[in-house]
Amino acid sequence: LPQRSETERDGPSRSPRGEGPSDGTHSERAPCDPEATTTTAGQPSAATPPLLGNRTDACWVADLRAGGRRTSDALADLSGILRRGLARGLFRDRPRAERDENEIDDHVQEALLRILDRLDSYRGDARFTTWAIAVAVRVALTRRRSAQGRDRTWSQLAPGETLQFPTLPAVADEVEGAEERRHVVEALRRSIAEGLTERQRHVVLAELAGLPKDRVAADLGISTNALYKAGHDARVRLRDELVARGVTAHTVHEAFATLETASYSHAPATKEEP
Amino acid sequence: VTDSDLERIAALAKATLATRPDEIDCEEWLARVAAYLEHRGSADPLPPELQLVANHVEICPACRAELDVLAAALDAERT
Repeated sequence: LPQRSETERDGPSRSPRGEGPSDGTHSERAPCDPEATTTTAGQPSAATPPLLGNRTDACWVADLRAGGRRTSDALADLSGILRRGLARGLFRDRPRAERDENEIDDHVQEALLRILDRLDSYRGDARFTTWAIAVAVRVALTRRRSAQGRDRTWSQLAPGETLQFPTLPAVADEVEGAEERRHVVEALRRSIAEGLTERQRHVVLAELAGLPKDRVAADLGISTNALYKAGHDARVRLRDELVARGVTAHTVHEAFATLETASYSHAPATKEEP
Repeated sequence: VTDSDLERIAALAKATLATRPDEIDCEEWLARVAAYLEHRGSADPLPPELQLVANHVEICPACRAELDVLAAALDAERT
């Protein structure tokens, strides 16, 4: 896979339509028509410009599948795009000098392999480069989580030791929503202890312990998708248990209103200025 | 208990009450999130298949973190 030199790294930005500096440009040898305006799936893509670096979505896929020079050129171009995206996404709050370039390089190399491996899963309902950056972000954060959780995995628990629900100190009465918080936490603790199967309990407590999903899945000998399914089944049962104990969405909101957690909104923005 | 413990308890409580039968898993979320983010520039209502992307991040902290990073990466690309 292509390695970029220091001067090639993190090249200048370009607009989504591909105007601007040349990093990521399409090889002149490639037979794809850079003026094409359809996505791989053949959908009109006026709302989401298909061009980045003068390559259509279909050209990206074709070039990455072609082999030889076309593929190596496409990988080099895609490498630059992923590098810029990861640098700005992962280190957006830090000066450029504080970016870990080696970490970004490792993520990009792994992401390119993953993208080649999963090319068939690109559905053409978004720009290819947007999809590719999404895959790269998945790769990068999974690698980071695995590194952070390396010393704390399920299989390293002592024999007979099980994950425990966190012990919560007394909540002072003056804390906003203190009564609701006590109620929700105790209902959750009892629901996990009494309302779940052993495996479901393990899955939920692993999540509460902050263990990385891939690690937990590996320890249980299941895929991450199967782990998600197990977690979903556990939450369905937990929801019924919580409701039976009088916990509502309003109660939870009141209990944790002072915490900045778990409410993420990426609602569609209003129409962008042209 | 640490702040992280408390935050995870809060996140679990919220995710539990937001649980729905038609949830998508993390792999399906990854397949749809690019279209979801590109829809941000549209005035059209979010299609049901993309609404499930929004629902998933209310439940899955890992994908929520990925969306945060991805949105920043794409916003930077557009500026």
